[in-house]
Formats: sequence, C-alpha cells, structure tokens
Amino acid sequence: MLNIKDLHVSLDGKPILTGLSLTVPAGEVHAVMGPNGAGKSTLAYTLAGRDGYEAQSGSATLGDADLLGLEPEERAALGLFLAFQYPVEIPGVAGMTFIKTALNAVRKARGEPELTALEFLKLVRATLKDLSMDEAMLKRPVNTGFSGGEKKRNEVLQMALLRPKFCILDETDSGLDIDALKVVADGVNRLRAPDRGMLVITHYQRLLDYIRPDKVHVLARGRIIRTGGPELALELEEKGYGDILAGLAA
Amino acid sequence: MARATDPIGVAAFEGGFALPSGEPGWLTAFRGAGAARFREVGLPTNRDEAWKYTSLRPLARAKYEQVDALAEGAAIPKPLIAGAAQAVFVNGRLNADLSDLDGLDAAVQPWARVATAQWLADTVTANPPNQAMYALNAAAFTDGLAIRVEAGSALARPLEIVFLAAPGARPRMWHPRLAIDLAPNARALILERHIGLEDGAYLANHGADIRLGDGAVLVHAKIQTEAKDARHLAMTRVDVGRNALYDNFVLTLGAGLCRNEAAVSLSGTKSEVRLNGAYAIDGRQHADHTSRIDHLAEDTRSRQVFAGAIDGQARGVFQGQIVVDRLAQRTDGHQLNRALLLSDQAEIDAKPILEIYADDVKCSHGATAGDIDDDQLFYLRARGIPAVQARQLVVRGFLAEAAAGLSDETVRTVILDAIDGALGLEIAS
Repeated sequence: MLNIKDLHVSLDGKPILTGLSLTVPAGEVHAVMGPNGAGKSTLAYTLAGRDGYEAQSGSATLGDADLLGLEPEERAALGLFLAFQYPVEIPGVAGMTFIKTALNAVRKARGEPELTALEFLKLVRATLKDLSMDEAMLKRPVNTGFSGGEKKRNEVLQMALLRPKFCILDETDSGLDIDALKVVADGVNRLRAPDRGMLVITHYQRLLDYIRPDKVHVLARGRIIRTGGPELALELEEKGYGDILAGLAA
Repeated sequence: MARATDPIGVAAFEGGFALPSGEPGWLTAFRGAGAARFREVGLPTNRDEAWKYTSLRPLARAKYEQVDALAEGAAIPKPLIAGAAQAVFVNGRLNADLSDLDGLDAAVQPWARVATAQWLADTVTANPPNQAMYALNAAAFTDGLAIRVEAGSALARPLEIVFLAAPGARPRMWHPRLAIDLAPNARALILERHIGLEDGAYLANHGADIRLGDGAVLVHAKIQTEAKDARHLAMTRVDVGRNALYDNFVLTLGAGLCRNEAAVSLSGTKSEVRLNGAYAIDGRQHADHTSRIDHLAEDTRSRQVFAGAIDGQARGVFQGQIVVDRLAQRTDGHQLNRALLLSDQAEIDAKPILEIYADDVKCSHGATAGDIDDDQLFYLRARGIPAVQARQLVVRGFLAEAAAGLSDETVRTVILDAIDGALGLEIAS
C-alpha cells in the first residue's frame, strides 16, 4: 500500500531524511517512533506534500500512484490523510462548510457526484454518532479556540468523514490528557479496516497502548534504524532512545 | 491676504446647488450653511489631514452632470431579507413605483413630504455641515428618505434602501440624503444596498443623519457594489442616546473609489456603537473607511473590527479616531483593523488615533497586515481542497470574522452570503 524507498529530504540545505525506507501493507497499522529532531514531522509533511518539503531523491507511492510529484490536494484525492500534530485554526469558516467543501472536492477529483446537502447531513450525523461527538463542534469555525483535545477529535472526525485509504497520524497524542487520548484512539481504531493502512507517528509509547500497531519502526538520524513488533515500543519506553542511538554510533 | 490654497472644484459643483421652493426655513438655512462650507473648503485633497490617503481632486475635472431624469426599465433586485420592504432609488431619485413600503407609510417617507417635521430638523441640524462632501450634499441634494420610528415601537418590516445606478453614457452625479430618527426604545433594521447596474462613471455622494433616542436599537448594514468606474462617497453622522445601540456594518465590494465615513457621538450613558466592516477590492480600486467616535458620556462602549482583502493594485485606507471626553469615565473602546495583502502591489494605509481626556478608560487599537497564512492553505489543501478554492475559503473566513459582532443574525447571514457571492464561493451550510 504505502511504499517509501530511500527517501532523502533536506530542509534549508540541511539533510533531515537520509534514505528512509518503509512499507505499510493494506490493513496494517505501523508506528514510527523516534527522538525529537529525528525527522518524524518531516516524513509526515513530505508525504502530504507541504511546500518546502520536497524529496531530493527516493520515492513514495500509495498503491500505484507516485505521491511525490503531486499537489497536496491531489494526494488527498488519492486517499491520503494527514492528521496534523497542530491542527490549524481557520477563523470565519464553519467546520461544516470546511468538511463539505473538502468532501465534495475529493469526490469531484475522483469523478464521483457531489453530495447533496441532505446526503451530507445524514453522513455527518451518522459519523458523529459513531464517534460519540457533538454536532456543535461543526458549527464553530474550524479549530478556532478549540482545546487541544477538541482539535485532535476534530482531526479524527474529518478522517472518518473523508474515509481515506491511508492515514498518517502525526503526534496525535501530543497535548492530550488520558481521557481525550482514549476518545481519539477509539475513533482511530474504528477506522482500522482491511483496505486501509495507517502510519502512527509518535514520540511516546503511550498512544500505542490504545492504538496497537502491527509493526514499530524506529526513526533516527533520518532513516529507519530498527523495525520490530509492538514489543519494540515497550523496549523504547523502558530504555529510552539512548541505547539504540548509542548502538548506531558504534 | 490671499489664501494659501484656493478651494478646489467649487465651480464644478455650485451649479447644482439646489434651493427648491416651499422648503421650510430651517432647511433653507441648512442648505445655505452647506453651500457656504463647500465654497470655503472645496473638494478635499490629501493636504487635508483627514483626507491624507484619499484625494478627491480628480472630481473637479470629471464634469459630472446632475440629473433628475429616472432611468427607464431598471430591474429591481429581490429583497435579501425575507419580507423586507424596499425603498428604491434610481440615480439618486426615490421611485415610488418600484418601491414596496406597505405597512411602513407613516414611518418611511420621501424627504420632501416630512420636511416641516420638527424631528427631522432636530436630527439634521444637531451639527453644522462641516465635512466637505456632506456640506456639498446638503447644498445640492434633491431627494432623500426620512425614517421616524415612534417611541417603544419597531419598524414593522425590515427595510432595504436600494440605490440603483444606471448612469448612461455621460458622467452623472447624485446626492441622496437619509435621515433616521428612532424615538426612545424604538427599534429598526435597515439594509442599504448600492448597486451599479451598468458600467459608466458616476458620483454617488450620500449624506445621512441618524439619531437614536434612549434605549433605541438600530441595526444598519450596507452592501456596496457600485460600478467599477463609480465614485461612492458616504458621510453618516450618528448620535446615540442613553442605553441605545447603533450596530453598523459596511461591506465594500464595488466602486473605483469609495470613502465610507462615519461620525458617531455616544452622548448618552451606557450607549454603544459597533462600527464593523469588510471589504474585498482588486484592480485599481481604492476603498477608504474612516470613522470618528466621540465618547461623551460615562460607561459608553465602542467596538470596531474591519477586515479587508486587497488584491491587484488596490489600496485600502482605514482611519479610526476615538475621542474620549473627560466626562466619559469607564469608556470601553476597542478598534481592530486587519488587512490581507493578496498581491505585491496591494496597499493598506492605516491611521488609528486615540485621544483620551478621561482617566478611567479601557481603550485599545490594533492593526495587522499580511499575506495569507501558508499553514491555513496547506491544512485546507491537505484535506483535498484545491489551492484556488482554499485561498478563497481563507479570505472568506478572514472577512467573515468582521461580521461576528453583528447583533442581528439575519443581517449577518445576508452579509456572509454577499461575501461568498463576491468571492465566487458557493457555500451551503
């Protein structure tokens, strides 16, 4: 499903990703863990197509599609979804307007008919119910004045409504208390499906107690230095990144 | 001794000074005062501090013709507010046939019909006609609307005042006049629409006087979509009584040159003004929003939020003056002016002025100018919204924020729809 091969990305001339390779098959959830500054967010932004995060070499494909040459909206239309570490406030634009615009833009790009107002409302209500969320959130301007927990829940809600093929969750646990974390993790778990892949990027093991990954990759110094099962996350939690990094230097 | 500068443009306009027969003495005197003032100062240019960024010097050469003839066959737009009455002006003249004022007969009248009313004289002559273009309007106006709502009652229907411009081939001008008097505890909802029906050069020079009695509430919005060669000038003078609220919003989209000016006196204790606005301009448009708010009594409150999206070589001007009298203790005044500069050549000139003579006040002002936030654009695009549409949404949100302070939800919706329409957005929510 998601195939990243030998990805090199520099920011302002400084190499951040230095030959990162990673494969996430459909139906699996993989975690990418790493210390601060390892390049975790750079990986997320490069995959999503943020300006300034262009790969110098290597490839990233989703299914048959080469992601790296595409605009962010084209990647979204292919089914790529990035849940932001810091969801952005868009004052003056109601959540409902935003999601409807996004959903219909994606449908249009895929050659599907746009949803009518009624169809959209039905879909929204059903999804809100699934996630035990309140419609009030969608009447407020996007993320504006939201608490950290509300912002992350809003990301999960968008993910559920856009039904992406592949989800990247960038530090979704940052800034969440344990209750909010459970709600968010529960929403993510509901979206696990045989035809959907997920990449969960996190610094801490805590999130992985709630979203159990099939595999854990350790990202350090710009590439994946170790891959293992869920137990690898526990090992990291216990010993920290120091040991692995020390091993790398030796 | 000779004057340092002679007034400009007097000759171009004094031919249009009107003295209709049968007008009451107060009005003749008021017109005379307007004519004298305009002859004294002439067209404002950027030598005047208050017009530093907006010169009307070119008007002297524009050869506007004052017309009385109605344009034929003007199409009346449907009301934007469901059930609203409409007073329709065509080229500055009130057209009874095109208007629908059912149920408002006593409250909404052609100016000439109520010219002898004491309330009208009181509302209009409270201040001398000082501002140059207001003075010109006083001297030259030939038609207008006078609105009076009796104590404790509400205007039976929302009122839309529609100014249609169908200028024809030659440059034309009109100077319509508006007076609104809400007696104590009266309420009204008034939406002005200024619509250029066809291309062509014209000058629409509006003058208005508004008086709000104690406890009165006036929601007064304006959507300006004049033709691109039009010059739209408006001077509105407002006096707000005790516990009264003047809730104003202006949406500026049209006209090559626009100056929307308001002078508000908060003369009753606990009176409040909201003077908000948004504008989206492009090409070589020039939009000037100027205001002066005088806090004259205790516990008065003023709120101003202006948001502008400026593209092309367009230029926005914001001048906001807040004056707090020494008697106006516990004044609460806040002013915010924000501009999105969407091109390298777009320009905003902002001049906030706070003059505070009382010691116990809370006053602040702020101004921002910048490009669209890249984080916002990327967030929207990452959700699948194409770049062009993402920009529109961000601009939409930016402008819409200024309307958040509007107390009336219906009017707010109308304003937001007009913003969406101007940006080419179709948003159903």
